[in-house]
Amino acid sequence: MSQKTASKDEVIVDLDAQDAIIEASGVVKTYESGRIRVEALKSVDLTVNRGEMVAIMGPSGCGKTTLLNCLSGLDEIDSGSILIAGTDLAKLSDNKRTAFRAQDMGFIFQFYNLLPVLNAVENTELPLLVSGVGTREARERALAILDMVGLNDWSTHRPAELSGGQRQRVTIARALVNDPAIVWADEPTGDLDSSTADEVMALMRDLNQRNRQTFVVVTHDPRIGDMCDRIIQMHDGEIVSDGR
Amino acid sequence: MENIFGIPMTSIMNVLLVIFGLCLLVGAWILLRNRVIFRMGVRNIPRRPAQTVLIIVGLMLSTLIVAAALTTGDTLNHSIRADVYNYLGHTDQIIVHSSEEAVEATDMEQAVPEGGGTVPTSLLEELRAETADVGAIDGFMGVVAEQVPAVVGDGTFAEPVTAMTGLEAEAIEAFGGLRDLEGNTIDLDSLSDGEVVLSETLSESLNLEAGDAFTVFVQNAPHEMTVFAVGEDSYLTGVQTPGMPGGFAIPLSYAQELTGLDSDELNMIAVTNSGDEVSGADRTDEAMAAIEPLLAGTQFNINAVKQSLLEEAELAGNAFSSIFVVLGMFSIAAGILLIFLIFVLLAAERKPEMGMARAVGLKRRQLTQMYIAEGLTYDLAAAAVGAALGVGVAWVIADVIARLIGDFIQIEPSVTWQSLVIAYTLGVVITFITIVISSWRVSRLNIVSAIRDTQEEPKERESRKFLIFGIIGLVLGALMLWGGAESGSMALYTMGISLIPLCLAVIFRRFGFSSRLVYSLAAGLVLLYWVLPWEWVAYIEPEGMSGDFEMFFISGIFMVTSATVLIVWNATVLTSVVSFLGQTFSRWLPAVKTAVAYPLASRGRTGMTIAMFSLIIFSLVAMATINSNFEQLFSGEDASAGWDIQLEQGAVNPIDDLEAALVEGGVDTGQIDAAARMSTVGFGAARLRTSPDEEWGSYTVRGVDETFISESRMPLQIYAEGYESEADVWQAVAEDPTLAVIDAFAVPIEGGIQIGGPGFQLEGVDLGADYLDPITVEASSLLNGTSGEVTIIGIVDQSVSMIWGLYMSEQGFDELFAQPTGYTYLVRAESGVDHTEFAEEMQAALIQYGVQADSMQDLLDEQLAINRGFIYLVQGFMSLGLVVGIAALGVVSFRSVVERRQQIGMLRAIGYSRAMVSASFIIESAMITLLGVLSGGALALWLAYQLITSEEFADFGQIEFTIPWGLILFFGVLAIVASLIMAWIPARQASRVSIADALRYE
Repeated sequence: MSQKTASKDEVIVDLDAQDAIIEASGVVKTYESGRIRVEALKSVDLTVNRGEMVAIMGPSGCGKTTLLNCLSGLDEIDSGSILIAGTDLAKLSDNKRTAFRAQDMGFIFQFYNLLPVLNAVENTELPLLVSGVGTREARERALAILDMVGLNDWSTHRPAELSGGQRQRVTIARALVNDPAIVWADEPTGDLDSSTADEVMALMRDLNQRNRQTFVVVTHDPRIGDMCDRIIQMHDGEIVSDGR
Repeated sequence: MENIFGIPMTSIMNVLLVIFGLCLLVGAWILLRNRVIFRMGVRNIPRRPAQTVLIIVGLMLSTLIVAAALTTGDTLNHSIRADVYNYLGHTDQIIVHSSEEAVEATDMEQAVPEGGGTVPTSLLEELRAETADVGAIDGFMGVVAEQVPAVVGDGTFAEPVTAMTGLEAEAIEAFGGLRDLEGNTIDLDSLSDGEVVLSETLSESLNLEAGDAFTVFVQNAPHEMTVFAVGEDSYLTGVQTPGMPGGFAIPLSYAQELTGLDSDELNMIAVTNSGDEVSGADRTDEAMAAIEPLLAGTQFNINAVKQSLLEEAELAGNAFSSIFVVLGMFSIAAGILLIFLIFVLLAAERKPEMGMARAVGLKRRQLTQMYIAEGLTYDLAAAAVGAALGVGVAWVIADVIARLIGDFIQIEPSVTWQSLVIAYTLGVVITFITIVISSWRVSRLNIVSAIRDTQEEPKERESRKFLIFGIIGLVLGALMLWGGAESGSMALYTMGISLIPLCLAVIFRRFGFSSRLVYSLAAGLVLLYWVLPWEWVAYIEPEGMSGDFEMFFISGIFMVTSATVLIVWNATVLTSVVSFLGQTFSRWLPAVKTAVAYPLASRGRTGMTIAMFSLIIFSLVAMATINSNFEQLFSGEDASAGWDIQLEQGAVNPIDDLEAALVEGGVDTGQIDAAARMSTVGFGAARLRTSPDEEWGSYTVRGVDETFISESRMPLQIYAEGYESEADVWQAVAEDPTLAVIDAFAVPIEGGIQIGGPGFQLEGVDLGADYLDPITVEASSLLNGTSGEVTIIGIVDQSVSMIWGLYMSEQGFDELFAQPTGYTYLVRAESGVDHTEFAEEMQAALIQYGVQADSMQDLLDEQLAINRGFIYLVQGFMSLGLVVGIAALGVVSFRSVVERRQQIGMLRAIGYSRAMVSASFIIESAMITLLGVLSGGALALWLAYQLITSEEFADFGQIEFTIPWGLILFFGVLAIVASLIMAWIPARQASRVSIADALRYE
């Protein structure tokens, strides 16, 4: 992975040099809803190595998505620490954390979360534009990655004109266009039928193996888990098992 | 006020009350039949207090505008009426010498014509005897009134025109009596010759108090006077309107002596009716009916002066209300759009719960009823707030008017319950109708997609609905077109011609044609029709079409609508602009990209918001530009016909030789390049008509001397065939006493709103024709009843705005009228002379002649300042509509934050910084506002350009089209800055969205 040019909000980290790319220890996250206090994560410890494809599984409400949000810096933790390639995200300002996400992370969501008002290529190039890549280069790279996920003929279509599988491919393209070190996927196949889900997972697996990118996948689906290198089982905010 | 647009206010109120009652009945019916549904609707109101406030603000604006317009009319009506009651006091009618029937006075100064024939005291006695048992009449009083100059000492304090009023002491009590400033009765009988009761105003301007002396000049003779007492300002002490210098009262016999009248001669007889100042006027008809038969066949006429002035007050109030209502229509139209938008967005926000409600068994009808219940509650509250704030706005307007014309009318804010009821019920009804339509529309939802909050695919039935609407609109448009062509109504014709393409587009869309293509084509055609040069459009219009002021509104609505449709269907072109900008401001490119993409994807709401801004900016820019060009026309080099100073003088102290009088007064006449004289019979004393079948109309008639004809710069707009040049026409007027030239203001303007009274109008003149068909008019003087015919052979250009009247030679004037009401001297000063100072010097030198001298430029500046003040006032009122657009942006932005919450989370996840998220929202609002401002501004400039460069306008005078860039920039910046401020709050909200929460949000 190449060293990227730094702006004032960027964090310079050589992600290639690290073996343990995600290191979480004693992560606690609590939600308060009125008088109800919910401990979503209870002192979670976790390490993920570069190039791994990890599945986080467990029943609804066990804290899978919360863990993913906390690990990726989308949510803040109450205690503990999370190091991404040795960098403590909690110590970064919001702008630096945002820039870090833009350059080194990709996100795939269950409901695609594409902008309905932009077409496939515009959605895909957005992370590049955010990172300051020029418009022409961003467009070229977005088209290339769309081609890679098999959507070269659909690049000018808006999400509403695409099938569920196609939309998720666009999401994957968007997540990968910036050549991120880590891809976070929250129920990436949750809204897809089984054959499309298999296709999408096969694609993700292929990219993982080809590019040695780290994938952290939250899923209910044991078949998806089977396709990953490692399965982390959660229950009531705790990791109850970790392995194949 | 009793009428607006010629319709009785009571009728308007009754109709509105009935419709308002029906609206309430609908609400009551829902409450009684479906209590749960009603509650479900009403319970939505306290759910989001901030949103509720915004909705009430949006819904109240129409009511506010109507309430402000009507209350302004009430205020003017009340203020003028109050002045009439204050200054006329108990005087209800006057009897004057005239061979003709009386014309109605159109201002208070006309109530007492100067220098007219006399009325014998025997008539006074006869009237008293004959009407002794008429209950409506309280008394008669002989009066001798004259305007005279007053000077204190060596001229330290002087007033060129004061009203000297001789009153019959024994009759004065029935007219309210004379009172000093403490309210004590002053016995006029106890005054000796040379003693006066001075009005408070005159005592202040001359710095006099009881016991002080001053000099008045009557028929060029000085008379020493002593102040016996200072009295309240009133008709009896010579104060007829605020701002007048006032006057003084003296016993009748002394006034007769001063003016050279015999003891049995009067100027007039004042009549007071039973009752006080107010109730007395109500008995005018009764009193007139008793007196008129007694005057039949005599040379005397009775003039219902108070009643006429009260009617004039009513007319002025109506005219102002009409102007404000018509100009407020743009804001009302924008307000209706806003109401519709609010309910569409409310429905969008509640789509999932509405879907759920439908899924568990709620019928469409019940959903509609739920919205109506909620909407009606908002509506009733918002209209009440709107009416109250409208009165507040009218109070501000009254304050501004008082600053502008407070010297002439004492402005007292006033509101009638009738106006409030009309504003409130009209606001409720307009909003209710919009709510019903939008409620019906939002109830047509697909249950599944509503629950999932996804975009609905167009349905077959939906398309059928469009087809039906299209056909109905097409038929309506065709009927309007036909009706307009048949009746010559430009409004109907143009509405029909504009509706047809738009409705055809709706129909074609049903048959699978590209929406973008058909809507763009239709909107393009409509826009083309409205922007084509008028001369071209005339080829496709039937002859004889005519339109009034409403065409301004109709043209605005259709130009803005078609331009907005074109913009929203073709705004993708903006993406290329974005790409270009992206290369320059790459850091902000993603924010700009989303800011452009979102509004382009929601054509409906974007279009409505653009249209709101566009409508208001259109009205403001058109008004500002047209006014700026008119101002240029009226304030050009020819405005004062080449004269620098005007000297006005009454007929009481005539000047035989101006130059000699000035020399005698110590003025260096070497500073004068030329001086001309006009003998005048003023407006109200002279009347014109084109044939015996026509009504008389008041007009100023002037007899002009040779210098005026040779030295004035009075270009003619049109003149009769047979004259080689304008100079020839003027020469003919100088030589032939039966010929005349009249100013262009006599020719009525099509579509204008008349504020003044019954002035003479020269109908049937085509200013665009090659030549004027000479028009013979009958002219008559009320002073002595003389009359005769003159033939008009030319019309003065509108660029001469400071001098007006019917101009004839002095010989012709003398033959026709014999007796003027006053003289006007026009002086052209040598270069380098300060006109203001020279005018002051001449006034001081001629003070004993009662000369009022003013620099023409000062007078013009004063007029322009008042005119500009009114225009700014009206523009301020029209800018209220901007609140509509700003509120719309607020509603849309707040809704967008909720709607896009999950997407904001995603954007933040992939690297949008907080600043970028809020920039995206702000840029979006700025872009919508900018599109509205640019389209409204450009259309308005084009309309104004068409108007100013049209043949019709060229008939009034040639000017170079100018654009008030400063003012236009101000409107644009105001709109954009206000919308940015409005967008800032939701933008900030959006940037603070928690990413994890937003991503979980559904």
